[in-house]
This record gives sequence, structure tokens and C-alpha cells, in this order.
Amino acid sequence: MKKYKILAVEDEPTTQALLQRCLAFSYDLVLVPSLERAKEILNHFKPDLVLLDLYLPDGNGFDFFSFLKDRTQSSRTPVIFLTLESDIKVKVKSFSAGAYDYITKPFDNTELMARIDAHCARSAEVSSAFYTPEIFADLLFNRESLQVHRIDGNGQKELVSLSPTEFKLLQCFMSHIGKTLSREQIAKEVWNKSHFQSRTIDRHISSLRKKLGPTGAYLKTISHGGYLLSLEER
Amino acid sequence: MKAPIKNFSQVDEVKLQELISIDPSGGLLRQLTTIFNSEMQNAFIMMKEEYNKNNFDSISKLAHRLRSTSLNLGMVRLGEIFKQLEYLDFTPENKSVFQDLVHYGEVERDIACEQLRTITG
Repeated sequence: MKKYKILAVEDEPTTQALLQRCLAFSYDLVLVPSLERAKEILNHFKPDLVLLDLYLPDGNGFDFFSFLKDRTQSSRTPVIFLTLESDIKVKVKSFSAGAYDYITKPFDNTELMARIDAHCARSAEVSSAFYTPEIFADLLFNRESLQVHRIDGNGQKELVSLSPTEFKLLQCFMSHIGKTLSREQIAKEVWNKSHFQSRTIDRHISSLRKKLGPTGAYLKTISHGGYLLSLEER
Repeated sequence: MKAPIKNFSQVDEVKLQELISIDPSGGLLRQLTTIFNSEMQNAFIMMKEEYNKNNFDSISKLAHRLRSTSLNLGMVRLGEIFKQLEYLDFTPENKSVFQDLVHYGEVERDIACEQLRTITG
């Protein structure tokens, strides 16, 4: 089962210890003590959710929240404020700014995890729905004409020559972005068969990857699990 | 003081139980206690020093941080003292309020340290 990636920005040491103990087993947790460090981390870590303290040594959480929203890669990332502040005006300000949730310290471990899971799951559904209809990375997917085009940096379209099976495979993955599909599921959706030669599926996916060019890197092999069209290249 | 500190219960037993339930071996509670003792050791000395330098913003920030430390270990009364220090209006008229809060804070800190020592063994 996929572990959600959490970036937690927190400087107080007992809260750090609690977050580490409560979250590190169930999530891919990166814990940093400052906003500056968080900005550095975001250059190579794409979290599914950010836990953000409001008052940090090098700034306040609202400024960092604006920074997140201005970045294309993180503008949709759910942010939960985790803070001592219980003032209703601060809570309202947080939700007006776009925070997904607001948890006051000291937090309950079970409640924190339940809220993280709920927001990550909903965010994944929204992202999948956002990308499913027509566009994925540099690909323009047309279900009516059964064609796929690659869009270059100048907005020019180039037809990607796919076989009918490869088109159906891509359509299958585009309908389940972010979800791991077993070979059985793929066989059912593409060939309408409950059993199918694994090697045949693997061969078709390998061919599809090559034809998709650099975007093929988003189509990942999951060990013992199947395949996944991920929203992340790495 | 805005509200009588003694009106607040000293310890949130539910919080302590939660920490033990997360790690029944007591390791988490011991870890947090070590951090608590370290953070609290010179806390009020630093606050007095900052007060003498008129660095009131530093006092507020330190109090905010230590409030979190206290509440994470269920030390409610100590947390309330830090809250009042955090939001204190540092006027000359409130100097005695600051001094009272520091005094009670030191007393509560010592009680909290002793309690945690008893619990963690």
C-alpha cells in the first residue's frame, strides 16, 4: 500500500519527537525545523501533504503557505496547520487562505493520522479527476478520435503512433491515475479477460513506454504489484 | 496575573496516559521528559536576562515554544503560565506580573520535573 509523503515543518523538539514517533512508521515523513529548510526540501521532495506550524523561528506559516500556492508543483498540496493557536480569528484566517485543516496542539495522535489520511485520499481523487479526461504531462489524449498527441514547448502537436492495444492500455491507465493496477486488472480492462499472459502485458507496456518518450517514465512498474501511472516522474 | 493559575489543574492525566499508550515501554515518555528537562533547565533564567535587555519579543517566542513543550507532556498549569508570559503586555506597570509569573513558573517547573521523574522511574 502506498505510503503518503508528509512534509512537517516544526521547530519545537517535543512536537518533533511526537510527530516522528506517531507518523514515521505509517508515512514517508520528512521533518524540518524551519521554513528555509522546507523550501530547500521542496526542490527534490514532493509531499502529498504538508503539516505546518504557524510560528517558526524564521517566519510564519501564512507566508510559507503563500509560497506553496505560488509553486505549480505544490499549489494543490493539502496543508494542515498544526499550531498552539486556538484563536478563532486565526483559524478563520487559515481557512480563508486555503488551509485544508487546522489542528491545535497538543494533538491526539489517532485524530491527526485520520485527518492526514482523509485529506491525502481526497487530494489524490481530485488530482486523478483533474488529469483523467484529456491531458497528462505533455500528452493530449483524445478518446473520440482514438489519438494521442505530444505537445512540445511551442504548443505544436505531434501524433504519437500507438497500436489499438497500446491506446487501450494508455486509456486504462489514464482512467486510474495514481493507482496501482495489477496485471489481472489490466487484462480485464483492456482485453476483457480475467487471465492473460503476464509476458504479453509486459511486452505491450514496454512498447507503450518507448512510444511515449520521456513521459513513459511516469508509467512505473510496481514490484509484485503491477503497474502505476504516477503523477511523479521519480 | 489574568487568571488565577491555581484554578488550572496541574497535570492532564489523559495526555500522560496517551503517551504511555503510544509506547507502553515508556520510551517515548522518557524521551519527551529528557527534552522537557533540557528545555526547562535555564528557561526562566533566560527570560529574566531577556527582560533586563528589553528583548520582550524573545520572551514571547520562548514562552510560546515552552508552552508547547509543557502541554505535550500534560503539564497544564505550567503551560498556562507560559501562555500568560507569551501574551503579557511588557509595560513597566506589569513588571511585577512578569516577576510573579516567572516565580510561579519556576515552582511549577520543579513540581513537573519531579512528577515526571516519579513516573518515568
